[in-house]
Amino acid sequence: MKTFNEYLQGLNLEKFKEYSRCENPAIIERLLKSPFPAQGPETFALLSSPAAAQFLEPMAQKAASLTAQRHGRVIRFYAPLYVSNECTNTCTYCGFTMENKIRRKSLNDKECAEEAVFLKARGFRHVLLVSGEHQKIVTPEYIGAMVDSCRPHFPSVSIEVAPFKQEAYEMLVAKGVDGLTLYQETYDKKTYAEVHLRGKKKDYDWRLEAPARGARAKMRRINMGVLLGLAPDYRFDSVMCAIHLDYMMRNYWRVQYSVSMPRLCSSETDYQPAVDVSDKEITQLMLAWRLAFPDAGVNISTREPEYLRDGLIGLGVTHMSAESSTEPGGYCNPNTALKQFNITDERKVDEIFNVLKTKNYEPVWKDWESCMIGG
Amino acid sequence: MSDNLVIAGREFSSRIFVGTGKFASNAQMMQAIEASESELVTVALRRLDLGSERGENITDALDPDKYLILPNTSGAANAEEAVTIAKLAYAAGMPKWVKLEIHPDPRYLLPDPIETLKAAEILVKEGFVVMPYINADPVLAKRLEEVGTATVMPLGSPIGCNQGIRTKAMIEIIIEQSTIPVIIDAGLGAPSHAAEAMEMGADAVLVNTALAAAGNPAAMGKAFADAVRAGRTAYTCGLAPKSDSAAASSPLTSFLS
Repeated sequence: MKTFNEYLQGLNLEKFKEYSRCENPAIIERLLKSPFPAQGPETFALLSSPAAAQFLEPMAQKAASLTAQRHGRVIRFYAPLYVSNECTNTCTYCGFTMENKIRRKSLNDKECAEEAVFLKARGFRHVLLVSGEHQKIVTPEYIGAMVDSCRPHFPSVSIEVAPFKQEAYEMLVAKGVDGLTLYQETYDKKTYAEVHLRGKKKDYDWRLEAPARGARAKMRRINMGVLLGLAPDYRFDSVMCAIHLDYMMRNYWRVQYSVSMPRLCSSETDYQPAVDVSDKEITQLMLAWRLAFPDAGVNISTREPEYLRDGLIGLGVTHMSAESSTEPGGYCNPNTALKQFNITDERKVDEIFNVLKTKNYEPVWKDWESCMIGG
Repeated sequence: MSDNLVIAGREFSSRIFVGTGKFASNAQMMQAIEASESELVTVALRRLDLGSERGENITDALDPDKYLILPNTSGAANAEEAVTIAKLAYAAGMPKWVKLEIHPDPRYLLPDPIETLKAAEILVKEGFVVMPYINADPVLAKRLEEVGTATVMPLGSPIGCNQGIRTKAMIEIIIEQSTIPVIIDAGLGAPSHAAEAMEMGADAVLVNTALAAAGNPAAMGKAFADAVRAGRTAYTCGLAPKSDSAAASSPLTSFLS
């Protein structure tokens, strides 16, 4: 099997770039009416192009029926649980960046369990363990210990941590981790090098092949994405992610995939995004994901404003976080000095559930149980 | 850029493969194969008399420089038998390629998925280029791909029935997910069936009965060649829109304004 990097060598990326810059509405109109085959990265590129921007309503109509058909009228809820903000990388856009003089904190077993108990009491059954990338402190063993301390409280635990070796992922899967979230941040190598100045994260290829390592380690769910605002050409950056997702789906077909479209949020850095992706543009991207990859899940986090999160329900979103804290220990002991970034939608879960109800959607807390497979 | 089909490093300019059973004579078979422009023909090893004098076997009529002669394991009812047949064919001087067919069911000749996977695993390890004939089962297709088969060959409908592509929904999924060539094998009774398979994005088709049982096998071979070419062109250039009859509903993007 070819690695993703090897697979990319054989692709005509210029064709994808050209599609993502399409300005001919006739092509989009034709695509929206075309029969099979109309899925995959080529379709994604065209639907995320400037020409497709004027077709948001017909795209939304199609996306709404596809979403109901493939995913049902349900939204799955999860909460991030930040375990550590220790980091040995210099990433110019991130609040955890090494140079930042914020207080550093790594939860111990007891603190992690307390956070877990808090979230469980709020109703959450799916938790995403998040951490900075510190080679010596946030090791696979440390993450394993955090998994052990929160697993008794949650039937589903995912991780969003530094890219690990396959063996480390295998160890975590054996402990009951079923999901891996790993964003390449940007597929644009030039931008990647410009914003990742120091630390292991500079290694673009090591990160690029991490989803495949996770899949080989038998992660059941993998969530991918780019950080919108890093690369100047956010459209083509997203297309690269679509190509990666397509590669993963073909080669690691047992995994359930989802995508996220995080936009850069204000943090304790003075980084200015290379491009502002508007609400309309992020809506277009989400519709493109849904139409080009009907079976992929779509996450919308609390980074996004209320009105947008509400509007996107029914158009493709399948997973939402709520009441999130982005600092280690932040649920039991809120302390703004530790944050990765500022969330935008601060509503309580109950309020969001009410919105779902008005849209005839049902919230789902739990849809996995690790013990079914001996986890 | 060339649109040639590549299987295990070998390039084919034709996307039609022909089976060699059921023809009234070797001469008629050769005319049909030539007219079809095929470069790959399958031969059932069980039909060869390896001890016979030259001239009596199907393979004697086929120029190995012009055609890849692909031995098939038809007649095998389990993995063990199929592996034996493949090895015999190779030992008899045929290419180390095999069309893996295992059908314990003598009526519909439907392939046994479990034995096929087992045999594929063994043959791939022994260095064979394996092209398995399977039911249109997307999961089996992926499992075979993981084992290392060179292609998958899902059936359109049961062998020899000429009913066309009855397994369309599943074949669409196989094509969508596959990273190796997908060849539609069995059931293609008319050129329109072959064109349909190619329009769906299949990499090639295999036909036999449709040619052998035609009034004029050579003319039918030509008709299939034309159909496969037309279907392939339609696929690569993108089919024209179907009418969109979706009913208008209330606006879903008004929240943005």
